[in-house]
Amino acid sequence: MGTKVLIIDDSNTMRKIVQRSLRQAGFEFEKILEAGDGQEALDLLGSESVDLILSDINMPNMDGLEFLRQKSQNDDIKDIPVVMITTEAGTDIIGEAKSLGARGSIKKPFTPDQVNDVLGELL
Amino acid sequence: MDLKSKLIASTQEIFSTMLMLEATPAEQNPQAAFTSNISGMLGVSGDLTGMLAVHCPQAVATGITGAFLGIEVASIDEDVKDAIGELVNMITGGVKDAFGREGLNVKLAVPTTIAGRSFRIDCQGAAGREIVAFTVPEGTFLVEMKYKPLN
Repeated sequence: MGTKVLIIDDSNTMRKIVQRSLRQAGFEFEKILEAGDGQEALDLLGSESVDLILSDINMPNMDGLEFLRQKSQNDDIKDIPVVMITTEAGTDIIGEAKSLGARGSIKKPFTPDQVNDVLGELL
Repeated sequence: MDLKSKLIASTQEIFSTMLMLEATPAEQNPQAAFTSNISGMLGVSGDLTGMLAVHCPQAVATGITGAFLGIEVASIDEDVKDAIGELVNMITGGVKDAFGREGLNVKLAVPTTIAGRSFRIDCQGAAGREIVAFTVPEGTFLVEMKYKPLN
């Protein structure tokens, strides 16, 4: 069975860029799911199983940090690895994301090689 | 606070990393008229209060969007609005990082995009202004930051 990934970003453009970067980095997924914010992602994870989540932090409605908080309280999804893809490179915000369970971070703008470096350790 | 160099460095990093295009800083009279068909804006708060904006003519905005998505884009549509919003988000993120290295904590809002033939953007209480023009193959665009000067 192949690997499934969920990309969470309020920007449709960024979701497409992430998908293209994943392909350019050599990753192949059985299925790529998309969500526009944390709440949409939680709703989706109620019916879909994924192996990896790539999430923005700064989003309207439910941001990436709140998504991590709520995910950590749900036994069905709390162990799915999450990598943050964000303009928020500050150690305080990334530190908070990691304390909430994020397994890594990729700073926008990014290259396929940087995606490979971070995801290669998880997949 | 060398804001101009931060705007240039952040913008050029995005173009070279994600768009595979060169954005070359150009001379721009801040008082000169500039026709923008779409502007992306993002507010900042914290140790620096203000707004960063990117102003693009249609040809530049569609060119940037096409380079982001790897497709041909003919006119300003939802993809273009979204792409310019993401561009301003990343430029502001780079500027925030640069301020962070100087010990300033800047918080980002969520980007907004306006498209049309005639609009004016004001930033309340902002007395400081830095504006940098960049040339790309499709033309010139502006990166502007209006801010309340630091105490």
